[in-house]
Amino acid sequence: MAIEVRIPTILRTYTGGEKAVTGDGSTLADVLVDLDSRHPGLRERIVDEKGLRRFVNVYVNDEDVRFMGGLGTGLKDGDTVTVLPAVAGGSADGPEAASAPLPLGFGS
Amino acid sequence: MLVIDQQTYDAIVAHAREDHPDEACGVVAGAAGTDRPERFIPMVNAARSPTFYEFDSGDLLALYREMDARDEEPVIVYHSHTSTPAYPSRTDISYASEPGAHYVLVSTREPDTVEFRSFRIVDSVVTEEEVSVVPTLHRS
Amino acid sequence: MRYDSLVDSVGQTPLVGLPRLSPSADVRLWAKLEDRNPTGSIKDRAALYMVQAAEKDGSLQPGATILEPTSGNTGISLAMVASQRGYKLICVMPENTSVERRQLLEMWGASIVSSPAAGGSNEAVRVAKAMAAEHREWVMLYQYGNPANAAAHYETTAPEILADLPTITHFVAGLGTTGTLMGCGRYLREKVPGIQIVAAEPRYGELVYGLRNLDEGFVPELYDESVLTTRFSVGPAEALRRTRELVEQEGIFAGISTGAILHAALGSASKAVAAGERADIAFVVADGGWKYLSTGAYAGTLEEAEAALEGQLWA
Repeated sequence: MAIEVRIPTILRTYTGGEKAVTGDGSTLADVLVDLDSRHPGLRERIVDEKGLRRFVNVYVNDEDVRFMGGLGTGLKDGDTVTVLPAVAGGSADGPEAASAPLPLGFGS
Repeated sequence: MLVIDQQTYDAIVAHAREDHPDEACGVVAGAAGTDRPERFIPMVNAARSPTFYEFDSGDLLALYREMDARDEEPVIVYHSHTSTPAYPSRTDISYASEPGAHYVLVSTREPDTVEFRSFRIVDSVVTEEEVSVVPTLHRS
Repeated sequence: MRYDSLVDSVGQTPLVGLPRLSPSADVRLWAKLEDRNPTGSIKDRAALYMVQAAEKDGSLQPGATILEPTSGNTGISLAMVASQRGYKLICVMPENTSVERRQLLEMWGASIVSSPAAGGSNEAVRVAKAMAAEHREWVMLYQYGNPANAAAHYETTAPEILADLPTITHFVAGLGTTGTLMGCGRYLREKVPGIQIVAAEPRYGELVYGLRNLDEGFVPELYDESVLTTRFSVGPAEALRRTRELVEQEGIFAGISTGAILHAALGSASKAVAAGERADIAFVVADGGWKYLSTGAYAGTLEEAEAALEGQLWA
């Protein structure tokens, strides 16, 4: 079945600039494999050897697939898949923080 | 260079102070293609952490749908560091996914002063840019 | 359960629920009782792994001398393992650690070199590194940088926790060598999406730091901050209060660092309650309270105990 997949800006280099592409499959996993056949490299930005990448959000209609079946989430005609990289970060590993001493930690 | 109006600048700083010691985060949206940060949108840090931020995935979807409907894009993506400098960390760089945005870092590590800096992060390359705070964004 | 010898019985410790201290049926605390290890602390895991790794790569030969900077628990664990496997052990330890630690070390046959109190564990590391440079034939396993330390937790502690608590949402431990948090943190992040790895670190008063400049600290080579979700800094008053609550309400007699860890776990718990989310928070009971009885932490009022701890390395 034909599933519309909305692509975030940062991944549009794989789709020739298109913000939405159509994929075929009855699960999310199948659709991603199908898309990769026409847009090589796209799938690897979304999935790694352990499954869905931690900082890439994938939704079917309004739901984050992490709360549904993950890559195995079933799809039906008319469903829309949306991919959005997480907006995240933090002070870990800043250039000064990396060399900043830890305060006295617990004795060991 | 980042051109930002005083009101938006103050709103970002106030948000960072309010959420300290957790990191604060949010977006300032503007009409697509204009590079004008017009609409201040503070977001909830789902990580609620002093060293990490992440937009809740449901909030993120709602935000992007709303910007899409209004033909906007995220002009500024901001967050605060609460005990380290206002400079992108390795984590910030690896998760920066809006190549067109200005990444604003605010540091609230000092109680009496604030650090406010802006950066472009494209393909893991960080370039600092000047911040120009103006009374209002002029119509172009 | 049966083992061929004491050293084989390291690990496989119980995970115990806290029905009184857990805020609700949906937000639950679980204590991993690492005081149930052979010498009474979580360090038995790292000590055994480091010794085994050194035997395997040939750096530790029969009869060799091991040198290690330690403020107690690792030294005690190493002393036991060394005495069983025929090595000598020299521990470099800050001079103001509790007397029980010294007694245990000497009982297991270790020698002690004291480093200045102000400077704590960091100073002990500096002294040990200098001694190691002068005695090339001694083996410094160096718990602060030895990957076998973190590996012990990646391979044993964390899998035990996950097997006992598949619904885990938070893991809380103390930050010292960082081995526990790095090892357990990495394992749990691989297996549990969205897990929070929470560190508790001790906040000492000025009497312990003395006039020493904090900038002379060092970062344990094992440390990778990106593994952590949150760091809580906990002072002695809070650590003491929680240590007492743990024994008074749940019957668990733990060391003072565990009080600090529990404080961080309770902080995570209240955030979950406020957010209306369920949580299963596993935290480490690093050791029992036995070695700290002489500090006065378990007797008298909290104020008296806090005063007694001033100037001591309570963690």
